[in-house]
Amino acid sequence: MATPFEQLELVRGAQPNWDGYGADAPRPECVDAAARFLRENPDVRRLSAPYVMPTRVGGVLFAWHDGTRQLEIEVESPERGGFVYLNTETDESAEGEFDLRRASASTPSPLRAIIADFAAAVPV
Amino acid sequence: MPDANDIGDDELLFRHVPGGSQFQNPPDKPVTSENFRLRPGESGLSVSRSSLTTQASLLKRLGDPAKGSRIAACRVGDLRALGYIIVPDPRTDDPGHALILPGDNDLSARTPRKRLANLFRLLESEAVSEVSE
Repeated sequence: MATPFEQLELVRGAQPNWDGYGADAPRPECVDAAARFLRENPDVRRLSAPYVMPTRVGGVLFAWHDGTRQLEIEVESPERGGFVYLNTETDESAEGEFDLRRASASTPSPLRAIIADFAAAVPV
Repeated sequence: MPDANDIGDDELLFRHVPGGSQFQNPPDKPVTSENFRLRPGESGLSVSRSSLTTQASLLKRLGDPAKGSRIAACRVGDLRALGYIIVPDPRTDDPGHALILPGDNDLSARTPRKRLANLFRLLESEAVSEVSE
């Protein structure tokens, strides 16, 4: 199975209209920022390897799934990230955006709490 | 031939998911929300109606089965229950083309997109009946 960094290189090679519905090609600066975030963020490094895919608007998406719990973190640009958490059993959800430049060293607190909870349940 | 303007709750809607590990979750995982993001200028999500478009024709038009292209499917009634609106939008290359309009939902927000994605299931080839049950 490919590592997340190998997956990122595959994402980098995605062409425009990769989904057949007009999606944008991933922007190289977003792929670079996603690799930096994954490599440097101390909280994300506690999680298991994510699934990696391009977004329809040129960014990168990381996804983790643990039974009924789902977490996605998106790199929208080198400066901006976003996340969504959903528990399909309890319907608990959370979403937010954050400054990706700061997030490489320090995770925004709502996301940090979700990751801590996730990391406790998903063995690395 | 079904009436193109009458989309029943039990009809399935297909959406192509490209092949390759960089585009698909592992088989036992849900379809990611990214497949359901609206791009700037899009008013609705493109899908194809199972009564008018076959999985094979959709795969042939948009994907490459040899590279692992798949079809994700969802019941119309499940979408309507969340407030989505389904409208026929036939095209010359796909008479079953339809749009999922956000209706009461804000697809620029991540949580509605995630909930929408969770309604879809990747189909095995021509295994439509599994989803419709």
